Amino acid sequence: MKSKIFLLLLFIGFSSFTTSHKFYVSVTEMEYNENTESLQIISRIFIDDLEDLLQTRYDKNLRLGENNESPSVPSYLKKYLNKKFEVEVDGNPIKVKFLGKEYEDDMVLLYMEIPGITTFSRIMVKNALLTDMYNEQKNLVHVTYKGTTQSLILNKAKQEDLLKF
Amino acid sequence: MRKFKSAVLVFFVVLSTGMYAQETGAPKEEVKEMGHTNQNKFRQLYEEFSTPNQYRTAAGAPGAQYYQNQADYKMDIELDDKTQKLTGVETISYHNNSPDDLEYLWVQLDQNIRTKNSVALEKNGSGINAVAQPGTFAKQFLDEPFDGGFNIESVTQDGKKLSHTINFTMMRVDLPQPLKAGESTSFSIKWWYNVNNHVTDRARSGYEHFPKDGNNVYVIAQFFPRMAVYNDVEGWQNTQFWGNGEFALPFGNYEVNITVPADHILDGTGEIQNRKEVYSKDMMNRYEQAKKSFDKPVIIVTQAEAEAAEKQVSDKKKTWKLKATMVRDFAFSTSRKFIVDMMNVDVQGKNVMAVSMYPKEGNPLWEEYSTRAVAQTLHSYSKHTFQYPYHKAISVHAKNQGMEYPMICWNYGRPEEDGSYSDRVKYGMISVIIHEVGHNFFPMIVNSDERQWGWMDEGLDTFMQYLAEQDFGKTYPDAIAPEAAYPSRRGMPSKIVPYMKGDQKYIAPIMSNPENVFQLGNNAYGKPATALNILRETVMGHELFDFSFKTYAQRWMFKHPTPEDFFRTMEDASGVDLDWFWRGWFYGTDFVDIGVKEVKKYFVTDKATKKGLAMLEQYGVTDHEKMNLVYVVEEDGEEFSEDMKSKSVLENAPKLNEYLMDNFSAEERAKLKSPKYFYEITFNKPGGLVMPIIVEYTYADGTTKNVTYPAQVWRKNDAEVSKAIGSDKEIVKVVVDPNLETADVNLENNSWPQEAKESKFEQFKKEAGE
Repeated sequence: MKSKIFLLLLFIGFSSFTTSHKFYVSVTEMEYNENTESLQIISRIFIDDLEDLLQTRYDKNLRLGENNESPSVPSYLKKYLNKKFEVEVDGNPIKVKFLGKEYEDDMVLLYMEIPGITTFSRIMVKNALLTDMYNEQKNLVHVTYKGTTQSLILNKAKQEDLLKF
Repeated sequence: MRKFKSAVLVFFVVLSTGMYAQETGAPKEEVKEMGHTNQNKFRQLYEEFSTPNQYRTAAGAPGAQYYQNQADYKMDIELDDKTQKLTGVETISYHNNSPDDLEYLWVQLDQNIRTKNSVALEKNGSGINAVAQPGTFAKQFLDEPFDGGFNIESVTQDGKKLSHTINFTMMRVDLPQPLKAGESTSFSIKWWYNVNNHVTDRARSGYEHFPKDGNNVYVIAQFFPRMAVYNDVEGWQNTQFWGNGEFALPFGNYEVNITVPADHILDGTGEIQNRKEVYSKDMMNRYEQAKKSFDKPVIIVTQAEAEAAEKQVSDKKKTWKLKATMVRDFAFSTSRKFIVDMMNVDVQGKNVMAVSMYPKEGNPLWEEYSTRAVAQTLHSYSKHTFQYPYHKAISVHAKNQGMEYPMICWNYGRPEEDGSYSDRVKYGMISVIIHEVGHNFFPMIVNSDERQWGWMDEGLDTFMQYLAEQDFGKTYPDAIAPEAAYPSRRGMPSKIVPYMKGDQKYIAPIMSNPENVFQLGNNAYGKPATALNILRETVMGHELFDFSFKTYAQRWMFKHPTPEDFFRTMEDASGVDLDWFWRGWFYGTDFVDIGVKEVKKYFVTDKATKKGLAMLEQYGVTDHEKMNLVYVVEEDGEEFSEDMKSKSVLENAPKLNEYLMDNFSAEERAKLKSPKYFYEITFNKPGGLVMPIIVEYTYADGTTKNVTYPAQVWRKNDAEVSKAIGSDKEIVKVVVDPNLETADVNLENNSWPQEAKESKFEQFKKEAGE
């Protein structure tokens, strides 16, 4: 089996455009807020990558962006996030609430929250965002809990991982 | 006045006891601390920099014995559009200007990254998905990979075969006799390869296929065996091409004949030698008009003509002849789908043709902005470096990619099928054109080694891109309306913060090879561009920075600089010691975090204080009564009394008043400052980077004052530093880095009194009405 793995990589090696992004990376910050007893999540994703994804996966006429955005975007986003972004706290799957999004330069910021968390010692994060679109997608996840930050780098091959606090 | 200063000196001496005590007051350890080497952040970069020599001077300029080898090419190329096969014969004349004899020559075969058994395909780790779409699975495991590597048919010299060895993307050509210092040799290579689809492959070179009309747009680059660089730094730069580390190429002169279908429109690096043969009469006439048009582009091939051309296929061939001098590479683009427009640009008194080539799929966006963006780039970059030396600059429309070559580059930005486009697509396109055309300066002319250092061209170019974008907004205010300034994506310090505060595991120093970093976009583009922007705006100022940057560009124009040549020139031309800055920003992964730790308020008194007496005792002074001294007391401290607040300095310290009466005339006294409030402000630095402390003081009357303490303030204590301030107005607020100039990653400690900052998340939640 191993000798065939390189076929998969044919589509990975050459993504190095010498300009503005085309490096497939998202950054997700998950911070525990003691006052609100919730995990507050901001995911930063390139707008054009997310637009490509939503078009390919759901509706090729869909538009993302401050002007002329398709009304169906929030529901598709919610649906997609449910599939690709999951959290387990101390072994229990927890529902992630999608709050909304905003645009910043060429990034879209997705806001999510997990309320009702008083304490935890283990957190499993699955972040497979855009890995169905780009084989070379990398998703960085930073989790901050009571002053300590730990990080994960997730990708198509490794979509989830566990952090212990 | 000098006398008064001595009184003030006393004040400062007494005030600084706090810090003095901190330095000596730590409990003595039983075990002696071990010694250490120089770890001071301001130490010079002697260990990191190579020793200057006759090739590269300590000033950062080319040395007396500086040399570079040259490679000239004569090539006949033919493109078969039906099979997407490219065939070529080339003769390379290689001039060994080095003082060394060369037993062999190294030639780069970049297309070998596309052989079906290329080791580059194995450069990353991978895994197998538990579930996959049948199509994806087939692509991954069943499809035969595309074979796009070079087929080298012959390597010959004077008709005789030359021994050669291919090692992946490099070919060693063994010479019958060593090529002596100062001598030249020439040899020929015959080759062909299958051109790949650059859209599906996400490649720099290749074709895009348009299924609706069946045509291809070719953007062809690193398509011929190219000489590697031999120099004083790397010997032969024969590091393999793994995909991210781009190109290292010697300068040379090119004569290239390219045969394509007769109905194709082609352009590339160099001057077209047979324009009358390859252009129609209409095109020639319009071209002559374009030479006279300095305010708007002239259409050379119209959309109607391009649309007519794409409906049929010519079986005839046409050969385009191009000639270029002093270029480090050659690239071309060809298609029957091309619309072409041109505008003449007066670049500091020199005429340069700005050219755009795009299929109808690029319109209406491309006819509107492409050539204008090219023109702006030539102006802005020339202003900061040198007059653009070539006769033209071409922007070619390519899907999804931006890539640069001498005089020509590929740029993305495609409207929807109905011709509509978002601001994002528009700005993305203008920005990428500025960036790629800008690469003519770095690295096409200031020819750094991209294989080893991605940031030397990408970082400098992204920095310049920011300046050119801002200029574009000023030149074409209508194009960016309703924005007041061009919405640049990189360069602003605050925009690099998420990267710099990220997990250290996934951050590499800028001084890293591009193959070995996690986030190349931030590593080689964003961070160096931001660092240079901070140098220009905050550390050096425009005048010193711009002169030094220009000096670097002019010293190394048409030469091969190294990072040290850049670092050294920036210091040499400005007189600013920047070793601390290069060390922090380029050689390490530290971040900026400077805060205000505490603000102490003091009052002056002439009554001896405990602290003051303790300090005097340390100096052996016992008869303080006889000395004329003033002391300070901390607000709310033991010796503080409420009435001090309402009194002036002289009322609080009558001895100071007497001193002034005895030593100053009434006129002199009238001119003296009368500070009423005295502060000791302590700044701390949780971040590893040293930076100037930029402070905004807000007074009780609402006025503000900005003060910048130089980075050198950290040189004796890297953790915290205090500043004593006398003020005639009460300070009510202290803010560090009020205009976000330093990429400070943590703003929570930047204010006194501490402000409870709402997090970005809380802000969003509030605005969203959650």
